[in-house]
Amino acid sequence: MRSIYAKLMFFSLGGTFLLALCFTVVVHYRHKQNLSDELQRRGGILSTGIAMSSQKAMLTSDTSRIKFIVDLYSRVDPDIVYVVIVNARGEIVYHTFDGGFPADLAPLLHEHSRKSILLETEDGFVRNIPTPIFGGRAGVSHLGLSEQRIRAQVLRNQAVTIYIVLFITFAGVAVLTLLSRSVTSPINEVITAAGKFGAGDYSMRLPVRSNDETGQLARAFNAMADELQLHHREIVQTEKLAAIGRLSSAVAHEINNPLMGVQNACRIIKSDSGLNPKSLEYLELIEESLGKMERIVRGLLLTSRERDSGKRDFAMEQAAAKAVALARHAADRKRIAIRENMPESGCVVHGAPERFEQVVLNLLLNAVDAAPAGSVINVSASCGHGTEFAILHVEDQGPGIPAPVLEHIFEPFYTTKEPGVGTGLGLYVCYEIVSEMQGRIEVATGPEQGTAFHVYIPLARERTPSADDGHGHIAG
Amino acid sequence: MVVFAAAIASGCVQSEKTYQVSFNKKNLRKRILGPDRADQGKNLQFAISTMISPEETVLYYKKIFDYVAIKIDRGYDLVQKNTYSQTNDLFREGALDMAFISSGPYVDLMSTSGAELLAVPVVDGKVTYHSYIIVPEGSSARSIADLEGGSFAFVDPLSTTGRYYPISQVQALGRSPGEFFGRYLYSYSNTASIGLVRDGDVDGAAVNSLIFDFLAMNDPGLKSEVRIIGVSQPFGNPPIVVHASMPEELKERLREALFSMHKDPEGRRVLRNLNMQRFTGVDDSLYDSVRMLFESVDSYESNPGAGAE
Repeated sequence: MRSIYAKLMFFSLGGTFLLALCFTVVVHYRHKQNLSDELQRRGGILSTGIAMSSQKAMLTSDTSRIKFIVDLYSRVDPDIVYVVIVNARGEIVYHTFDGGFPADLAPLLHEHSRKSILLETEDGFVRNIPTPIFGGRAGVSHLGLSEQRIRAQVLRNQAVTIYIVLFITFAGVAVLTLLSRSVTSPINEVITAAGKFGAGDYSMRLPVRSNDETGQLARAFNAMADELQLHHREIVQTEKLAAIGRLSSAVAHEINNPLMGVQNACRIIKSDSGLNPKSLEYLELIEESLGKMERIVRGLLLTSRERDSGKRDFAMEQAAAKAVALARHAADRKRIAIRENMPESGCVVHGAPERFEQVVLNLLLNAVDAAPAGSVINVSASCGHGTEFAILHVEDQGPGIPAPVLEHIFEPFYTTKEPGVGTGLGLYVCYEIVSEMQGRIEVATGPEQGTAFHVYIPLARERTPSADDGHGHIAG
Repeated sequence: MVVFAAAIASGCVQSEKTYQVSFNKKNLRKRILGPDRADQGKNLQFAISTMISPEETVLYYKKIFDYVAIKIDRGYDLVQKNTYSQTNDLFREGALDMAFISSGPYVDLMSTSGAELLAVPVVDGKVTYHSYIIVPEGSSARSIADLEGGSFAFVDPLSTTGRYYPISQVQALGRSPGEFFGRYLYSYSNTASIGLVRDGDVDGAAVNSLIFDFLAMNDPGLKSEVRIIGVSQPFGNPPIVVHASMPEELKERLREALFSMHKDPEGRRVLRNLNMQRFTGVDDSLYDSVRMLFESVDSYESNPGAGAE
């Protein structure tokens, strides 16, 4: 009995069957009793009729009259088996048996002249109903009434009742099967869907077919699946970025020292005046490439090396303003206006202000790259009442970020810019720094709608001091 | 399981005891089994003619025979017949030993002999009774003459008070019953005639005054529903007769038992219940008035108009 279906069927069927059983027993018993009472009543009426009609004839010993009355009554009812008239002295005056009087019957009639008895004969059950004639002073009339007909009727009705009960039971099975299927099939769908979801099919959703509880169940499952899928994606992204970050730092450390050595060596060789112009040209090419490598390594090291140094409370809007000043030059070149909207009062956050400047600068430079000439970039900060975060907004009027790109924008070395133009580290650095400050970055973008980055940094007063190195969240 | 339950249910009902009887084993060849003749030889055969209904006879008059039978220490069978003449016929055939009969049957029986007058009840100090002409309370009739064209109930063809007297009254009007009454019938008992009048089923009837007074005594409502509009001349009371062939000794014992009945507390109680004081012996001439009535009515019927006034 593991399934709800089996339980439902067992208890409902059991209940239906028990009810039907009680119904059968009661109906059968009542019916039989009613028929029996009816027979007794009918026999009583007939017997009384015979007794009263034959009263005067008995008192005047008018045997021909008695015969007339008895024969008349015998034809009234087909269930009458016999009539026996006994006088006050117990002598049989008249009876309707052909060819003599049954030997066994005489003593029984003599003994039971007041109460009806049931006889078992070759012709089936016969009820003998005695009625005293003129209070017994003129004798007793005995009426034999066959019970065969009512017994047959009881059997027929019993069969009908059993058919009805079977029908009710089978109809009950059918209805219950349909009902329980309608309940259990959505449950089974949920079980299947949950299994597939658990096995990794995060796109698994249930069809919502109704507004009842099963529909609500499907809706609740789908809502849960949406939520789980989102969280799963975030966790995967966070883990991926963390792993890449660790790998990049390690690589950067290892490369940094040899790189320094190569750069020094290069400088020393360059200071030698005896170089021919061709060699000098190559040396400069080497130096340029080394510089490029150094920028990459520095960028990578930025995410780890200075993580714990220079942290303090600072006003976010001031750090942002410094970054805006730095970016303005690049913006002007593209005739892009940067509109600043900073709060009066300080949005004090905790962290290295220089690193936060880097975040804002990276976002602004990305915006300048993306935005068309002559457009506007809005930079604003807010830390209003009732919020735990200082929020920085950087909004451009560029073409927006396509969905396939959006997934990867915070990964290191991921870039859509021309080769050699970007390192692919800008947003990765932003992500690392913001995470380090226990904040998060959200991106709102759409085709031809521009892109808005929202950087959430916990206000200094709201911060949890112990969770310094926890990673933040990204939301697309 | 359903069948099982049904079986239980039928078991509940079938718990009544049954008796095994074979309808095939029969030991008597006759369909009509009359009383044992050998037994009849010992018992005396006492008859009561149906002045009242057979049922009422059993309830009231039979008590006299019960008392007498105990006094003479003999068993008896009560014989009742539907009409006076049936009883008379049995008497003539010698099938009866003693009979309590009405005055008309007595006169009829004596005319062919075979009977002997044994005793007569004394009621209200008299040994005579009357015929009452009765009508329903609501009837406007003041005498039998007013019943012309109506329906009428006679008691028995041999009844003095129930037939001969009212016919004599109709004959006195110069008519026969068939001409005078719109319809007439025989009820074969005084109580049946009284019932017919009381229920308004007939417009009038003639009945035995002893029976009417006796019934009125036990049922006070009767006189408010039935009105007497005519009373006849006196007739000798219905007598008890014995068969002439009865041994003298038995006759004597029976007479003694009846005559001394009022001296015995049990006998007195029986008599009082029947509104009788005692039994006495009378001369057959007491019934001459009945004989005259019969003669007059019968001669008028054989020669209508001869006696008309």
